[in-house]
Amino acid sequence: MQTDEIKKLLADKLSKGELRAVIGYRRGTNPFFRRPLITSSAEELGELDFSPLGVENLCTYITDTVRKRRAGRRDPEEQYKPTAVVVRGCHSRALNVLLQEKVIPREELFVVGLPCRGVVDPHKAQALWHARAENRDPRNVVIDDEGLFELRNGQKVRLAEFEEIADERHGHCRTPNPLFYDVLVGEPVAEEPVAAEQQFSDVEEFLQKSPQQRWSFWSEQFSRCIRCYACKNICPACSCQECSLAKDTEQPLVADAKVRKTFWLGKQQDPANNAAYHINRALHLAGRCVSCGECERACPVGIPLLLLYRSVAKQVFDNYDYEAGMDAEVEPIMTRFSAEDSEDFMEE
Amino acid sequence: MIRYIENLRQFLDNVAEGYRLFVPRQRPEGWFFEPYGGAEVELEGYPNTVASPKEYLFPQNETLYRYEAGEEGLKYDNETAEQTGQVIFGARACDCAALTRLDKVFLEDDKDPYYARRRENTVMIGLVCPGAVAPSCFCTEVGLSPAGVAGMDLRATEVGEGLVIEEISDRGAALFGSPALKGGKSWREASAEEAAEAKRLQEAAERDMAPARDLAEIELEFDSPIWARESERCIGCGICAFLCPTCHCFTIEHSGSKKKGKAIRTWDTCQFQAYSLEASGFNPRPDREQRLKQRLYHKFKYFSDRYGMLLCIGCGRCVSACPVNIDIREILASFEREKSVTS
Repeated sequence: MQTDEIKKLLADKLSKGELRAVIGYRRGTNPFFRRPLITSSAEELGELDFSPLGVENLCTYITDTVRKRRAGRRDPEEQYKPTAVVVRGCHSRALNVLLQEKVIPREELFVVGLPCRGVVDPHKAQALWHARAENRDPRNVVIDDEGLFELRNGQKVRLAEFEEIADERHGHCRTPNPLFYDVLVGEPVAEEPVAAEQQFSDVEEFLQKSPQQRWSFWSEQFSRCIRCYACKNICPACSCQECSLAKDTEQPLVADAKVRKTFWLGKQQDPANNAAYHINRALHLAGRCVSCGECERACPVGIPLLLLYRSVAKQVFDNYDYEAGMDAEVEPIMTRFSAEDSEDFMEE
Repeated sequence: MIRYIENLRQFLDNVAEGYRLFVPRQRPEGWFFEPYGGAEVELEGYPNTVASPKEYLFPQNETLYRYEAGEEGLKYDNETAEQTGQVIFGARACDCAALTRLDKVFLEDDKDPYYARRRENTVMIGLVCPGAVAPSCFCTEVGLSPAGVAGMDLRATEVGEGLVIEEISDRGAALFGSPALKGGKSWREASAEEAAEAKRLQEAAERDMAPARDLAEIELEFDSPIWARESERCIGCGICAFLCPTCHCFTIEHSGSKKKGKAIRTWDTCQFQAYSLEASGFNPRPDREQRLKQRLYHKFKYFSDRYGMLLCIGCGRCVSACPVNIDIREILASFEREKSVTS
């Protein structure tokens, strides 16, 4: 469907009361940024934007929506109405993870699939605009799947190819098209995705380093962490209400003080606590991280978190031939037992 | 005296002889303050650092005291901050002005000895901005200037190939009295032309950032629907507060056992749900709506009511680093619009 038809369809559904809300993208601070649009007003849907600048994995908000309903904090009439959410390929994998883990029910979703040829790094686009635009009037910025353009007398003049402004973190994408949807924006992407066997070339390159080199690399990276928990909070797979690794939310009520003490991490931003936080988080994401890259994009100090979680994803793939979020019907890999599971780690 | 430094490296080498010195350096992830370490400092293209320099005065973790149970009861051992002086070179005017806000909190009523000692032992060499250094800059909208001296001990302006350095405080003057710098091995008195050029650049920077509005004039409205609308996409992380040069909330953690351990102060933020959670289980700010509102009210109302200055210095870090593009300039502007519609 064309974007105008989709906007109309969603507006109709909202007006008829068939949807509770729509979660998509709208313009942000300036023409280089998009931000999540979360609305239940049909009028606001005019602002819905499907450009390659919309990067956030909006599935994160779905969990919150369903949780509020479960906690009885939604109007009873609105309760079970589905929420429409715009998803790219990797985002649909995140939805699958949430469906597999029964965090959200399929009936409460109306999936607007957005085929994805890659997303734009707004900072790169902004820098190239400042370097190359003739007239820096922000009204003349055009960014689409073809690249960055300046409007000159109503004509699109190319300033940069898409590759120059693309966010490189998504170079290993396995699913340019959403795996499932209720409506699709435009046409599916025709190009073949990266083959399963080739998807971890970044991790393989990193594994060329010795264990000592890898440890010192990560120690240095973790030492810069400021424990703002953006990686955890933006992650759709991090759907726990209370995180045992972070003291930013209410803590589980563990009666036994000894258990509490051994289980919780300190709030201190120091090498031991930082490493414990990141390593535990990586393990919790085994078979669940879909490489959407939101953690790394959100990280204010630029820790290469995608590499960390993809290292774990590679092990899951190598050992179990499993990729996270590819199928909502299969049981999550880490809760499934099979006598055929690899036992290479057992010593004779 | 107004001085001129031709060779920045030689000057910094001399400073490093008597002080712990931190300078802005570019990494693949952005600019950060790092220990000087003797390498050339390249200021070409330096906007501002990702993290503010507040951590050098108010570290993210600080041991307040250690304790140990002995036969004569509990023994306390107060930790004290580093005694040796430190110099922060290249902090922007906004970040220096932020220290005048932290001074109100930590020095005015009950003096915080940890902050006080660091502040006494720190020399801030501020660096004048060539204008707005990032699209998110808005210091002039909060009544500051890209060339302002608030919180600076020395003000540096890039003139020609070197720096014009003006004395702002006694601490700044004292730096040039230190053994390694005394007598002018790495500096000379600035010529009248150099001093005039510095003044011209400072004024040009201010002109470049003519403010669109005065954010001190904006009146927030507690029951406005703006709060719900703007906070709906907030993910409740601590980026805005932890990168902010004026956010100063902390919590105290104990590490160790009942018999032996230490108390550690760490940064905390009103954006975390647990921040306002009370022992009874009641949370007066249960949703992100109230928490976002609290952050802006503290910066633009509560603090200014008490101290007569805004708790926002317009560095724009919270704007540029927010992963879901929450823009406080825009939130404040929407209150301005709302007011003009209703009046």
